[in-house]
Amino acid sequence: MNNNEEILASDAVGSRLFIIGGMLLIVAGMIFGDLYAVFILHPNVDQISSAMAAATTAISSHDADAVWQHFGQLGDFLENAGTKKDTHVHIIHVGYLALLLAFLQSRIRLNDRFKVMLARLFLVMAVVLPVSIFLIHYVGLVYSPLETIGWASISADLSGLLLAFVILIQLWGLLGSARRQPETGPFSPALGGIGWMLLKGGAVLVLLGFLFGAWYAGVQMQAHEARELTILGQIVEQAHAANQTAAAQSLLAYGQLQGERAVAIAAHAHMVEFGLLAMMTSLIQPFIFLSLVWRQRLAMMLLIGGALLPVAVYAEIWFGLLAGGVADIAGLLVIIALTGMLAGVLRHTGAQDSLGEAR
Amino acid sequence: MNGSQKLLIGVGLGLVAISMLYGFYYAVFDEHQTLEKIGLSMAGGFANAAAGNLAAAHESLQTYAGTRIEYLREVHGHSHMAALGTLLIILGLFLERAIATEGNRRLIAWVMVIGAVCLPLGAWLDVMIPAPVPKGMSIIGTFCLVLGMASMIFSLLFASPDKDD
Repeated sequence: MNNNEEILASDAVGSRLFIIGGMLLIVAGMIFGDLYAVFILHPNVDQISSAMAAATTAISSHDADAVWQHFGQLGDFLENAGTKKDTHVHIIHVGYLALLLAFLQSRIRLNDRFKVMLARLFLVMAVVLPVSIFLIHYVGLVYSPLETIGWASISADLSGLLLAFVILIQLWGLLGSARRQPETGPFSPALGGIGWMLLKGGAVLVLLGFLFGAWYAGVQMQAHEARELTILGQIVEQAHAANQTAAAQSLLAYGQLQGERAVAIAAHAHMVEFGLLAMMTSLIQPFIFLSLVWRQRLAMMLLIGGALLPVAVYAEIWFGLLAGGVADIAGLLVIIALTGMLAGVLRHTGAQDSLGEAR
Repeated sequence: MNGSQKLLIGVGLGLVAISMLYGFYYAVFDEHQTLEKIGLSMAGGFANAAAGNLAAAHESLQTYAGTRIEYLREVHGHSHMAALGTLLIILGLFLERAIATEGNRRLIAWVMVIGAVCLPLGAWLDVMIPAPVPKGMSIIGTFCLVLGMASMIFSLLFASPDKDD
């Protein structure tokens, strides 16, 4: 198969597996992200703040043992939040890669059965990796043969390694194809107006994400890093002098700083990620078997949600939970749009299969 | 595949693979130790203050700050390389439809590739080499990525759909 117009016609080379598997992974990652934001993120921030405050009080009481105890809890809360965030990021990113690999299959010079095997391996590992990351916090070091790395981490590391090998084999097959085959027509499927709208909108989001990231890195990042050390120094000195009021104010400033950092990085990352997603979903538009009106609605929902979420996330600095609620709704818009597109792709594959049987 | 597509998709897949292999190496050999050092140095800062040794407390907090910056740069290098590799693959798929001449495609492809390599490399080198080399690489990388994406968007403004919906 050399033409991407027929990418979903059959599953001879694993393209169908990659597209449907990739979209499922992205939707799962986004639902997980929304649940994380609504139910885990804010309670976790409160737990972290409480543990920091308790450790600060322990300085004033000159109780070093209590400090270690509170920091033990703090580490636990941070690991809980960190592994959830990593789960969200990794599910979505392997989903993106699966979606892109679908469109490269027609140009990869490997045996068709081997391609299907690689697609299956990639998708299985794409599930194992985030599930393992999620379990790191709960499994810990139980029955682990190593001192610092538990079984869930070992599983995550090995699945990541296997994913890297699949990518390297795809690259090898692609380079082999590029050397031996002449040009065989356009790489991407022909796009209509909706596809172009998603492509342009996505490219603009990626550019805005780059500009925001450049501004943050150039203007704020190092100032934030320096401020963190200054505030921590103030906390220990004020707590040591038993000045509880000043120490509490410094703790508040520390929490504010962590919040500013987190929303700036999240806004940058989401702008770029949603831009990439919009560009990628333009590729699948020809394979969405829905009416024109519904395809337009879904594309608009994706672009509006993708543009609104990073803005709302950044606005949390000033508007707190109100902006957080808007961000959650924007995330939901993207999830609905993607689920609708996935339903359209499944209908398309069903229609293709019926056509094949009729022949 | 034309030359610019080979460049974008080949380098894109290569960056994704390197990023994943680095992620594996980092998770196995460095991440746990670094996170432990971050936790112990911050807790040590507070514990030293509780024991009345403020000089040792500040020293521990300095270690915490330095190690945390190192951790952030390493993770940023990994995540930026994977995301930029993905972007290069996407651009490789679209380039022939968005930009008419192969000369312009090749120019934009090279600008994007330089940006996608320099930015994460700058983040990684920031913990190994003192400024200004890593900072310079990050700035060049960012400039190339902004320039490349802006050129892509400019070309897309003049492109029209290939077919009706």
